[in-house]
Amino acid sequence: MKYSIYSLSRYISIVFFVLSNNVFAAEITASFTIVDSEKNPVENAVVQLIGNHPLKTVSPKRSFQLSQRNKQFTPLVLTVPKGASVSFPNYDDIQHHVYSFSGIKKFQFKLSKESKEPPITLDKAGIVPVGCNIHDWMLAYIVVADTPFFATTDSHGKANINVTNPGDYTIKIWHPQLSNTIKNPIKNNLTSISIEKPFSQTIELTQEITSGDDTDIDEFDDY
Amino acid sequence: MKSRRFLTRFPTVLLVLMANSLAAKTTVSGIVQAGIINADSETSFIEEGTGRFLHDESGLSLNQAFIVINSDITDNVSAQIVANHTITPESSTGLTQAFLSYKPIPFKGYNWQVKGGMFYPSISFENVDIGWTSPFAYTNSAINTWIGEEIRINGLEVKLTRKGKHFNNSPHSISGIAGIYTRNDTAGTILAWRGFSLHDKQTQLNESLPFANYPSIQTAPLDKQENHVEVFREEDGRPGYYVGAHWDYQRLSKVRYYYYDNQADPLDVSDGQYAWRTKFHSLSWLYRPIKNVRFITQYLTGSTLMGPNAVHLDYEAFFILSSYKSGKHRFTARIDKFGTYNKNDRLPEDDNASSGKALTIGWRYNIDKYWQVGAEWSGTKSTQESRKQLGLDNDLDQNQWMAILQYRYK
Repeated sequence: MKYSIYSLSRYISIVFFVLSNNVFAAEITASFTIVDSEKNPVENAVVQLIGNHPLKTVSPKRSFQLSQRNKQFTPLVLTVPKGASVSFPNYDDIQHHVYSFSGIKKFQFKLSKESKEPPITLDKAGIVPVGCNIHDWMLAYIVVADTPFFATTDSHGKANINVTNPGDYTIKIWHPQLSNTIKNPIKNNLTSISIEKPFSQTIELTQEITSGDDTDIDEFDDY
Repeated sequence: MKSRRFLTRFPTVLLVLMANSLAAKTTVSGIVQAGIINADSETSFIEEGTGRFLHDESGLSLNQAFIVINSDITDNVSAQIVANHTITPESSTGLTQAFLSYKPIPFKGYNWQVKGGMFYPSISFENVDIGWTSPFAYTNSAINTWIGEEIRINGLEVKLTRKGKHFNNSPHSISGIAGIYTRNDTAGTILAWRGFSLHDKQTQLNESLPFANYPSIQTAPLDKQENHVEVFREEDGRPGYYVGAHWDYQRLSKVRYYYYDNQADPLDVSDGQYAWRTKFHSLSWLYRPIKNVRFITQYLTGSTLMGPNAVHLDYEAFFILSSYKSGKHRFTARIDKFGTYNKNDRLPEDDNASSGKALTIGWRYNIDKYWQVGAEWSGTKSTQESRKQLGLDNDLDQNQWMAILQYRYK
């Protein structure tokens, strides 16, 4: 009984959330396509829209996961809002030793399928590279966004962001292969965009991004 | 003697560490492999004959039986013990590896690893399954048969890796390795008289490896040498060393180079065992054009010297292996070439020259997570000059069939 009341209240809150976004706040969908300097779509690029008047980040209720499956992290790039909690479920039969030491959050723990490690809370914006100390090739990135308006591109280079507040936004693009030394990786020095109604925009990067197809793992790759 | 006592106690120390550590998470895995062998009838070296295979009698045989105990002592320190049981030449149980490793979290893309105890140097891409076995063929290549017989590190290894992914996602990762060890002074003995061999037996701690009792080692000046080699023996108190480098291009292509020198004093002899100054270079390449296909090659070249230029030879061996995995099936083919060459030593009547080639073709099928069946054919054509001492033809052609059932515990 308790459970059903809980589910019901959850359902109501979801309905309310959807309504509040779609009806009351008039959501605008900004569709981006990211391509590299060779015009190839870029997967796992993070697009952030940063408002000129910073918005208060709502503490997210959603839980985020960076899982380990077939000796790889999935997803390879996980974008979360500031304050989010991320858990690290291990779906492999073997152990992983997940760590981050060089980013904005330091942690390490050994994980088996049964492990119940508490989630990590990320309260600072920035990049958290996550590795495995047993399987050297495993590397993923958690991007902690400083705005509620962000998305990660799919394999077609597409990312849709639902913006609830029309206005001017600065565009910030991040990808693991983008050189840190380049100030603006976007061609024609595009830096900001005005969002009033739904639109589609292709963003071209100044750098070539190789697909880095490095996922063919088999049982003897540890060696 | 002191070091010997420590060495036999080291595994006990490891076990105590494993048991005492409250945080220790211990996993046990292992393999038992038995089958029907259609053997070549030439008496095996293991029975003091000159045959290059381990088996010389057809019928049922236990090929492998070992357990691997892995224990996390802290987040960054772990211990591993591998204990094998063998029935060749006689029933015995003993350790083949026992080591502690320390691997701290990488710092700015650099990774340290320190290993101490008894273990194999990671020179090959062939013996990559648990317990240093090969997932490809039941019979190891000539090179790695010899490594399993006579080469073991009883010492310390330090490895530093620069992980490419952490440097602007570079596909190149490189490692440098250096190791120091004792108790490998007799390495090279078996190559001098028997030459290279093809099997999957790994010498256990304090086990000795027999070979034929050639007349040349029954008479002066070689009569101090017995017809077996005690593999883990320190004769002169001088540590040996090895250095290595790994270069990985993602998982597509990996190269490993090692140089090994046991720095043994070839004039030292005791209890029927000489120290042999043994040095070699090893170069291995793994190429995986697609996930299910592997090409592995390895080239090893070196020399060994015993006594005052009494036995001095060069040796080299090469193999190329290709393996294709399709669902639960794995198909493997390997070509081996090997040889030992006299180096103008003082005893031409003790002829150490040999050469040969081998072909191995195998199939394995995973029934489930635990059970596997497989079949393998190996053939070798070789010459061994020392066989003439026994009144045998120096040419030797051998082949064998195996049908194997494997149980894997994990």
